[in-house]
Amino acid sequence: MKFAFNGLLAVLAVFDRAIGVLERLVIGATVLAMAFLMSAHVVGQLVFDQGIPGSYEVTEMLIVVMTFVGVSYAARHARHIRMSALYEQLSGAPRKGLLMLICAGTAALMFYFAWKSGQYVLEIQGRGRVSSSLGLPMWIVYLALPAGFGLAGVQYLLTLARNALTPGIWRSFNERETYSDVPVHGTEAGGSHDDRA
Amino acid sequence: ETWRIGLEEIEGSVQHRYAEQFKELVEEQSDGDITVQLLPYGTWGSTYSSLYDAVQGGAIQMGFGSGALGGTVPESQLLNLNFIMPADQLETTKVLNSDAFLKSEAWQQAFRQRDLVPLAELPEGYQVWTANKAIRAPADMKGVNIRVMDNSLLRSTYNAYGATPTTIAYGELYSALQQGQADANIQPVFAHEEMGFYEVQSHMIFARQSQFVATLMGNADWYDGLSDARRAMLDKVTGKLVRAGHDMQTRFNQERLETIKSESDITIIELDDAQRDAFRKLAKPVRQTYIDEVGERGEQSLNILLKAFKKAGGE
Amino acid sequence: MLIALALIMLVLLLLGYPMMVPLAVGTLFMMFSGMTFFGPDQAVSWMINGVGSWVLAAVPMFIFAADILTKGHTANRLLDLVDAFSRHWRGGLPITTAAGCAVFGAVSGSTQATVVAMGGPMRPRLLAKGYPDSFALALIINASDIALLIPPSIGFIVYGVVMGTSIGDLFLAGILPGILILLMFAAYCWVGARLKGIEPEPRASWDERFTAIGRAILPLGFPVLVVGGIYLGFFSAVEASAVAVAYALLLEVVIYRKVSIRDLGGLALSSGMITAVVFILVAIGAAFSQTLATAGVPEQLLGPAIEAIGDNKTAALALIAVAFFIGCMFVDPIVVILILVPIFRPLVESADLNPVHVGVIVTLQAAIGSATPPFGCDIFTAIAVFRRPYLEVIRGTPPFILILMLATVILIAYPEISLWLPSLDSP
Ligand code: NA
Ligand code: NA
Repeated sequence: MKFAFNGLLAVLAVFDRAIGVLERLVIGATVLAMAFLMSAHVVGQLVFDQGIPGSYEVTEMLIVVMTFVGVSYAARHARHIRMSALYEQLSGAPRKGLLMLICAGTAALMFYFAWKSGQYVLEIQGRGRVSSSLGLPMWIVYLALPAGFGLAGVQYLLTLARNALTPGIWRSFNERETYSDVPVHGTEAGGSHDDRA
Repeated sequence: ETWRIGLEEIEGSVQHRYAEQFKELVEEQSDGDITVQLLPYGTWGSTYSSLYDAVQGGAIQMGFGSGALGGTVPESQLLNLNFIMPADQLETTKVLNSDAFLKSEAWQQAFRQRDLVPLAELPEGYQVWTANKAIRAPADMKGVNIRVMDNSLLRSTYNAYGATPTTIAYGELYSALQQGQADANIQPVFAHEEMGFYEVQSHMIFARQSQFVATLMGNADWYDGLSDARRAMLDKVTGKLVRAGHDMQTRFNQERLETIKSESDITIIELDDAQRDAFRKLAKPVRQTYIDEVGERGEQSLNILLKAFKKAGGE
Repeated sequence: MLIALALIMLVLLLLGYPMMVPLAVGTLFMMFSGMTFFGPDQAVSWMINGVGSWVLAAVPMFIFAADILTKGHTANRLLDLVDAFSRHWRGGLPITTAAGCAVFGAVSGSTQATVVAMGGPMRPRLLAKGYPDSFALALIINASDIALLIPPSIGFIVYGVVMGTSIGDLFLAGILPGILILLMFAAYCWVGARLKGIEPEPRASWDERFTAIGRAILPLGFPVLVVGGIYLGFFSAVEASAVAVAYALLLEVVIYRKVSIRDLGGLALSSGMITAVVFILVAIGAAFSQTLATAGVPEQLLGPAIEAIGDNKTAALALIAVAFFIGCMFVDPIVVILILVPIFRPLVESADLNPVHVGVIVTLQAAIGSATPPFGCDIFTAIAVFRRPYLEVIRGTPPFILILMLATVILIAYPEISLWLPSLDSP
């Protein structure tokens, strides 16, 4: 039984990696696109007296996509902001238990929002809402919500499964908890970028 | 039974005053069976599409939709077109609320397609230009960086006048005008006053090219679920408020204009008919842009409206 | 009902659920218990509209700009500059850290970016010099607050737009308070070094100083470009954030060549994710605050206080400061500004407060809040970047919080500190 589950986990891990790559691409692209669009808009206004039509609403759409796809990506890397003071007082089984409780509860909430926002997307599609400047259909942008919440829910479930099936404490599906026992000196002296991504 | 109305504006505004009278009349006519609850800007959210969502979804039964409604009901941009309405504001108000236009198949369907029903039109006064120079002719508009809402039709309109329309967020507008990122701005009088835009502009120009019009919309399912008597009562109430709404908005804008005059030495310019004609000619082709953008129902609505104005003896 | 709401949210928060969970559960609780007539469909609409706002674009852009600078040379050049002038003082190293945060704050709009940019290079040096880690961490986290007061500042942009106040004036108003706090921190560092008997370093030569100035001149073009561009009407405050990105690219990719084009993807991803973890809170926070508002909670809680205050300016400012301070203890500062500013707008009007002054007080609380337990995004940034446990990161904070509270009192008592610079601008 446990072997079957681990096999399943291995298959899931492949899918998971593919989705992870997609999330990275989307989030990185939204930031770059926003920087490019806004700078081009400013340059256009200064040099040609003509900004880029629709740059406001496209920027707003990019933020929506970045935010909600980011929910899943941040869950994947256990980067959601939380108040961990109490959690850190625990160790061993109680700590693992609390983590699993957090994962289960958060997953449930994420799936609920995925469902509700999926309904919302269908409604907006039915009502044909478009953006006011470029006339782009908004439901396509709003797909980021069910996708982001749904995938975040999956991440929390995977983390739950990983903790249930594997020894040790896993803060996400692929990352073991480490940093509370790293020695004080000599860590992260300079570029800390890799940790933030 | 509670009827809730979401307002795009804060307490004390035209929409709020209108809604207060609406509330009074409805509660009176229903012998207290119905309680009307007003939800000013902020109490339902702060982005207009949240309000439209709430009315479309039925969480609140009625709400106003104006300049930002174009994404939700594209045909509603008709009300942003320049020089389609007569210069006389009362005339405009009456025609917009006439059965010929308001109850026309085209206008009703434009909203019903989006789970809404148009109940009344509330013009809130002329859209007025402010600028850092006098604008009397299209030549004066040439190259003026005028701030318009991020809306393709308004951009076409001001491009047609020869101006350079630019997009700036409402919250950033005051400093943009102050620092010269934009030279000119279009708002109804009360907004110029409320946001202090007149403090950082030298001229205020009444071209009477269009009014700021808000549509009172109901949720379609809610409306269809009302008894015939209730619907008749609604018609009666909105009918009564046509004239009252006009009086309210003219008084309100007059007060605000007085404030602007007393607090600043802004130069006020009123274009005469000959001057307006020059702009009117340039604005006319934008009607086709509107039709191209929103399609058949929009074209029908435009024609119905133009015909109704003609019949009423407008320009 | 309100007590049940607060309890549920507090328990979820303390258990260590991601911050979005207590906010979301609080929202759903109000919806399902009938405190408001809006249902969960509206929560989705509010979430989208809460983040789908042009103004918020300044956040990822300033973070992205700061990330590029942090990866590249700029942060070190700024630090070397400050170091060349302050290292011979007693407590010179921590003073350099604090001043470096202020100077980097003039380049970046975000406190989190400042934690990374200044904390990365300075913490090892502080530890090597014998300062305890809890002090080093607290210093980095709290001095980064100054970044939010020195323009450009995400806090001022968001406040200015919500309140309808000139962002240019807010930017000017933040400068002196930022310097005041820097001086207070410097005094504390001086006293601390003296008590611990840590010896100062040798004075830098003028040669060294001129070299440092020369190396820092291009990075110091940032405040000139950003603030100058806004003042000359070249671009808006929000657009300035994209200009900052463009300038950061020019510096680090073209001139210093420390960041390659290939790095940009990773940097963008990192900035996007840092933004997203805050913005999901902004989104759910918007739904939460709208639900609170439709449930009439703000009136219930604040109505009597606002009534009692009337037009007493000091009391009004104190109430605002306390409310924002408490709010920022638990929720992200941007979220708090978005939620609380509309609630307090009537009080600002009825007490005839200067909205620019209020903006400084509010932004200062937001800055303090970023570094104040239990919930502070700078704390979480420090945990993630320095890989230290929560309690260790916050152990050294109390003295800094006291200094910041004292600064709040001073700024409330002497509005001129905030309002003098903007008053020079308008005749
Ligand atoms: Na700053
Ligand atoms: Na805090």
